[in-house]
Amino acid sequence: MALMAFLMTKAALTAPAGTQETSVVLVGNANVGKSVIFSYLTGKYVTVSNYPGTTVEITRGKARDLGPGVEVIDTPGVQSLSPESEDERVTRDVLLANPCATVLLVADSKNARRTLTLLVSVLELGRPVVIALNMSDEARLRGVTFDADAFSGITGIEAFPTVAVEGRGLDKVKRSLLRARRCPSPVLYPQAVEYAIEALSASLPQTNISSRAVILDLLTGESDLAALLPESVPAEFWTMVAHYQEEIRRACGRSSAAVISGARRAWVEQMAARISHTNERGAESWADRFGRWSMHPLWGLPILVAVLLAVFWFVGVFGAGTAVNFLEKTIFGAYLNPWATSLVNLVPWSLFRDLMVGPYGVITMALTYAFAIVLPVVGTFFLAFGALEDSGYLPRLAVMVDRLFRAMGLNGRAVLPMVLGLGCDTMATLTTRVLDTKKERVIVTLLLALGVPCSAQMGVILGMLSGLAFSATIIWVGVVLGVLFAVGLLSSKLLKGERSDFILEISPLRWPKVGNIASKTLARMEWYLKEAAPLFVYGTILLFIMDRASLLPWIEKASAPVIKGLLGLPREATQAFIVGFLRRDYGAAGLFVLARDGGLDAIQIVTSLITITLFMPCIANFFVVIKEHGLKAAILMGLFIIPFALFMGGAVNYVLRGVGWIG
Amino acid sequence: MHPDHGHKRDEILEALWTMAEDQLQTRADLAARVESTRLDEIVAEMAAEGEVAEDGDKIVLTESSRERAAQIIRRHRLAERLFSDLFGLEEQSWEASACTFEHILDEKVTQSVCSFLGHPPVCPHGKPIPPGPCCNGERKPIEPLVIPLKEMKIGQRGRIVFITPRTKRRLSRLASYGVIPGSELTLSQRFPSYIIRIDQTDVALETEIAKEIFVRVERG
Repeated sequence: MALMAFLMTKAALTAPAGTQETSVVLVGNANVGKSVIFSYLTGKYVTVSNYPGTTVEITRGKARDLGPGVEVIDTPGVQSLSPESEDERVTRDVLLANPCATVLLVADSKNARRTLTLLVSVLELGRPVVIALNMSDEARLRGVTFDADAFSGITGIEAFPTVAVEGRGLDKVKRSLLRARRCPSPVLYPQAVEYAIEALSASLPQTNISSRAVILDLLTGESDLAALLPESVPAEFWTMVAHYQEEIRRACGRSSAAVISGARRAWVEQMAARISHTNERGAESWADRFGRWSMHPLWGLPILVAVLLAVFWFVGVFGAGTAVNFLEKTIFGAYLNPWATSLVNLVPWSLFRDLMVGPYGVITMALTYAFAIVLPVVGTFFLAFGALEDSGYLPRLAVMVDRLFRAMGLNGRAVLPMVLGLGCDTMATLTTRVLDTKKERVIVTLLLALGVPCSAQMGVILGMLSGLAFSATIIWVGVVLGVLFAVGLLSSKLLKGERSDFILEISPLRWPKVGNIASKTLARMEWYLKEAAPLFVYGTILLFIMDRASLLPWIEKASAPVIKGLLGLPREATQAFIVGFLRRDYGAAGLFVLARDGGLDAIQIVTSLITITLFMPCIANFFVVIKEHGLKAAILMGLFIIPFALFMGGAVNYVLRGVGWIG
Repeated sequence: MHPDHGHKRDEILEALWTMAEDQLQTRADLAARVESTRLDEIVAEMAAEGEVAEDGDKIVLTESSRERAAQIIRRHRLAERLFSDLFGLEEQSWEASACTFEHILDEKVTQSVCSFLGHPPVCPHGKPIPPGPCCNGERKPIEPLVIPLKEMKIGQRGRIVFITPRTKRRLSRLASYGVIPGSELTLSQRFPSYIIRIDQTDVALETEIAKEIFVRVERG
């Protein structure tokens, strides 16, 4: 990915001018609504959330109504275009690789300074720019005005107030994109800098990027553009760059980097003072007040518990209880399965009949599990997670858990992948990229694989626990959290490397928009079903084959010392662990059925739940770990996790029996 | 002692201190830092009085002169901070003044400057400022005007005067959220994380970072 971007950029820099197709690149700070506007321009859905850093990869789509062949590119949120982070590098490289693109700067209307700071970087690249002053409703509520007309009058850049989630103002933005023109950078640099630009541009070969932008970047001495320039740049050029850096230092008394950033900052301050005004804030709104409470060291905790209980009720009681009952008993039990059975019975081959509707049938087992047990649970979790994400509660959660996470070599920012892991560990492992250091990414990946149950599994687990005494839930939660913390602590000591800084923007609390949550949930469920349902079918076929070949009883017998001896579980539970290799939630669903049919007592339920929670992640997760960290790391994690999960299950079994817990 | 040698001696002590920071200790290194035709003579004089220790080509501070050198360095670097951060002057215009100040500031004024600046740990070039008695909290003569963000009270407003980050990466990340010298901020929470509002952006910071941001607080 990084290499691809590099090669693309290099190609763009060395290509003759004017060969690129027209495109629109969305650029903006994190969490300002770029993805919503991308969806509007392309008609393509992308995940939108109220958490900075949701877009980790660039997304492309064909524009509607902007003329044929116009591509729209969404980029990760950035603060500037100097590549300090992976996101900023990606975004800058997209801009460099598309030298003819019009930039749609998506701005948070409340923050004129940050908007203008980013605008300067874009203008330096010599790009046509249109500005969407998004979230103008929030700005108005806070008494902040951004005078779009005055701004356009001064700079010649069109800017429009928008409320993207409601589609307001976006038509004007779209029309403006068609007529946007380049305009020169408005920043006034000291004479010495201008002189250096003029002298150096004579020796710089023509590239697709404005030479002014390249030279300014080189003069800061912090540039990584040098590696991207064509080989034809003469060696003397670099001597000259160093020479002019020294000249600027001598003339201005500060390093050239400080002079250049100082000039930009001066323009930003001056412009901000002219166009943006803040009225004294009236009474604090309820959202602000609640947002503050949710991070309070004291009030934050009850709010945290209340949020968790609400999610627990919605997913565990409503999703895994009411919805599963209805789908499994009524839809599948009373209608679909009998229909399917009578339909399949028309087929003469008994092998096929058994494969479809037998005890290990694709319809009666795989599809019933996937659609009747797992789907309602995953669906309700994604609804709840979507609401949490859009409300802006997650960054506050990051603040609450920061200190705890620091003991594990992480910081509060790691809460996003961890909470998303409660939805789907595979999805979450992919988002560990938002973390800054390799050490953090490895620790979070390990913890996700080890002890963060995905929603399907969680729903089934909560469904099973709700039938027991509350102490069962406490034991399960306690053991899993304890293991996560202990393993985190230990791996933070064992792994080399550093934890990154905890610096996080706290986005304002907002009422989640029902439409956005719905489309987000649908998109996630679609992704999930494509990922999960086939594995359910393969798992069932695997079981079917094992059953036919009489392998199941053999494996059950062979693993009896572990399953029966160590964990104290009935033989039938073996199946759940076998399919658990394919998907943990499938394994959990097997246990669910077993428990509901009275096959497990309280201790057996708790033991099996703890074991399967800590057990290997599903195959998909395993592949993603290989992709992100390599085969060796993935195998090492597996070699640690499987014996450890069995050991913890055994320990819980013996302790609970020892103390005579009855549930 | 020769009457002109006082200032030169201070300069030599100062040079030996900065040489120690750069892990240098030869006579040639000293000659590169102190301009004087009578350098050898003065050094010999100081050696005789136990202010420097000579060992072949090496010259280092002695136990007794280290404290005095620390005081000079402290005055020099505090003066640098004062000129660059508070008055916003550019380096060329204050470097000479800082050299003059190191000789004339007395202990009481030095402590006031140090407290006023909020006991800054490093100079504008990033070199450590040797702490004085005021920095250890043994006494607090005046309430400092410039304090670390960590010491601010909830609800207090202030303007960032300087930032002393451990890494450059941290500095640029802070800058990207608008946490730069000159920005106005309000502290809204201290625990579990520091939360500041700059313009309309709320940013959460860990304690380590809150220690490195120095703010001139608004009075009243």
